[in-house]
Amino acid sequence: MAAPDAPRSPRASHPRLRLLAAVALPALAAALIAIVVSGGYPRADPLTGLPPPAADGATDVQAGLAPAAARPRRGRPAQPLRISIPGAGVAAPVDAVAVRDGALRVPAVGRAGWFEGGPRPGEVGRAVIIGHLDSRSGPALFARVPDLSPGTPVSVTDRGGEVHRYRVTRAAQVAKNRFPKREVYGRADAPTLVLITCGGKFVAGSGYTDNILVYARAA
Amino acid sequence: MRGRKLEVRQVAGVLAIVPILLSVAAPNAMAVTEVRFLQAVPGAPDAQLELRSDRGPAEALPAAGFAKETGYGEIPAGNVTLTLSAGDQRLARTSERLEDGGRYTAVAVPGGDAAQLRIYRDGAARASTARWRMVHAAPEIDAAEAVFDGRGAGMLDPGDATDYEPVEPGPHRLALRNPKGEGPLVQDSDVALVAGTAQSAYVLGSGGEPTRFVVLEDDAATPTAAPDTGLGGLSQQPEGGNPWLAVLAAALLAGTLGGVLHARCGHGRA
Repeated sequence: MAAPDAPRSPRASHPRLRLLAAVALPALAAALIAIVVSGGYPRADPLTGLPPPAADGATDVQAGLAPAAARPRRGRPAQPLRISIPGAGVAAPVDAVAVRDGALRVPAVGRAGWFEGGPRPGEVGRAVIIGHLDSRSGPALFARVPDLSPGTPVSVTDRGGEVHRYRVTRAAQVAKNRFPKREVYGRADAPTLVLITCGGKFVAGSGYTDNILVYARAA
Repeated sequence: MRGRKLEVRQVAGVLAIVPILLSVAAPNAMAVTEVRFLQAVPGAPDAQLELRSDRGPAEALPAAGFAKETGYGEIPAGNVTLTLSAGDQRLARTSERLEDGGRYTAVAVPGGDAAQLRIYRDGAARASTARWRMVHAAPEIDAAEAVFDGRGAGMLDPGDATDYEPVEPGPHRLALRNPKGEGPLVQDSDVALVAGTAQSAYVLGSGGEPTRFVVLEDDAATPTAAPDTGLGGLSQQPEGGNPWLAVLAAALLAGTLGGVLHARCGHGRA
């Protein structure tokens, strides 16, 4: 039996550290491998199924901004910058998206896309914002949008800092091959937001069969 | 010689197949046109417009009362007879050649025995721009000047329409004024002209009804395909859990076991 003050070898002197390293290193390695395999960045929180917060430091669109009604309106509202739907865990940047080859270009996973050919959020008419239901590996930005119920608040902050507030009025599931363009784009009596994501059954090679449309009206 | 015969047969084969392919494709490529109805006869009962093309079956649009419009109905393009009736009474009839892919608004206005139909071709929308025109559909009002945000936009006789003009989207002031008079005959200070749409402001009224604008959307800029906003990750997940959680849990378990074994081996050597 060694005396309490006997000198120890470096390896034998930190058994707890050695144990910790033996446990943590394989786990860390597995986690790194998982991240690399999934595409480099965790697109969804593994616990909540929601995308990570935006990397630009903006935590929420309402922070420090006055509501639109409190300001005098001058001309058109600016283009949208961010969308927030607390009830669906959405707080994300918005990109302007155009039509290419007849179809609306889709934004990157984790970002929303506003159809730049139509009204801007805050204007009378239907402003259309689309987002991914899922990525290749799991839920994406609009994963919980199909579950939104009437009354749920939605807000869009524009590049001028103005916040345009809406409340969900209704939702619909439509077949992609019978997409109701006239009910989605164009004129409305009030500022209206149409959120679009995918729905229905996923068919390998052709994608989802349906779209989910969520209508929100200016609050 | 033999090669030449083969070529002739091949050409003949192709020529024989072409009509077959065309006959199969023809029904799918049928030329269609779209028509809607606006009722602009003050005091008239609800009226219904029937569309009969010389190339296909008739289509009846829903009945509409004064200052109301129907949605667009689709019929084969060609020579189309439009018949307006209220119950059993025929109010007006006209024929018009309607083009493939065209969209039209048939407006019933006072005239003739009961009404007359005027057909306007609706313009196309352009992305990011608001396009508008004014249509004078109140025959009791004489020629008047269309006014947009305080400036003249052209003289209109009853039945006339201005050309479509691209404008900044947003609220605008529309008016129709008598060029000799002071005040406007009709005005609306808050007409929303929407980005990505073409709109028509119809002047209706008189004959006991107040003169007003009825603003209709003629077209909207839209993608032709539905957005593809899903990559299938949710459908590939097994029921009841996230696969990455399972991977991490397995890694932790393996690491723990490895660590315990390593520690035990270390103690054993000690």
